[in-house]
Amino acid sequence: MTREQYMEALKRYLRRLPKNDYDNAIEYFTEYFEEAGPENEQEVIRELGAPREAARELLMHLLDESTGNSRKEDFTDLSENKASDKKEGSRKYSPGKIILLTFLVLCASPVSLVLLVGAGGILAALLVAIASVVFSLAVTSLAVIAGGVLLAGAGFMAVVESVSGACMIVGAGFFLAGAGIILGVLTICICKGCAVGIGRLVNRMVRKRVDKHEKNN
Amino acid sequence: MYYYPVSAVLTECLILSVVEQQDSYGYEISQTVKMVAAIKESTLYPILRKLETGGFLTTYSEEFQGRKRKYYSITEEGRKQLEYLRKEWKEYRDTIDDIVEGRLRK
Repeated sequence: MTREQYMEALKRYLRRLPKNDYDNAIEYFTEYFEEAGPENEQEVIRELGAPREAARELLMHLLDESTGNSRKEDFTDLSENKASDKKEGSRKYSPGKIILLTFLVLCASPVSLVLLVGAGGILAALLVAIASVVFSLAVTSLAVIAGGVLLAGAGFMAVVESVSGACMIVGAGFFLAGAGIILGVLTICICKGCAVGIGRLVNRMVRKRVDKHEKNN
Repeated sequence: MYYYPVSAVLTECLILSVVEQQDSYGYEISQTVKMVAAIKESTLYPILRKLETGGFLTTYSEEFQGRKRKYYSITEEGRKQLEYLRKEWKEYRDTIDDIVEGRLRK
């Protein structure tokens, strides 16, 4: 990789930064290459690491600063130096900028993080699928119960025509209604099971992330 | 390279110390800090930037061999911060020394 290719790649990852931040960062790295000299070009590239990684670290540190997460204490520790505290507040980033930076970090993140976001999408799709299945089951069971009750009613009406025939129709109606009730109960059970399962899944995913986070710190 | 890590706070102290007597530019600051810290440019630059946006450093551009060089110079506030960081560092260092050399225990 040449210096030009490296800078092009870095620019691609940092492109959406606010112009001022972008210009400053690109200027710094360009100057760094120039100071190191052409003979050290490969050495510098190796030292900086893959453009994607370098961009991710840059964005992460910028984000850390904007959310006040990082080593903010080093400045605020200076309690006798109130002026610096004030400056601290004035350069806090707006929520919009934080969202933008988060998005950029995500874009420059290793695949695992992107996969995690993908997993969230799949989970949402799964929820929708389960909800629609449960809904259709519920509608079916209600329809079957209603059909059974109507059939039984029709059977009672038919008693004047033929007693045995009426008994058969009423029986069939009760059978249908019973089957519908069983289906309904089953639907409720499925619904409960899925809710508990998904709850556990999400719980585990979140806990895993948190564990990882704590380990890293 | 040293076995012990250099924290971000100490890196700030190092940067401010480099520019205290004489203005300096990115590469020189970076090379000096790298004498003791295994730090990447992608970490060092944000610290430098933070010092700049925090008002501890100001920058200006100057021509050097036909190209532009960005110089960093310390502000009054930067000097105060450096004084504080130095004091902290000395206390920290002395306490560590005392423990490491067996003079101090709780």
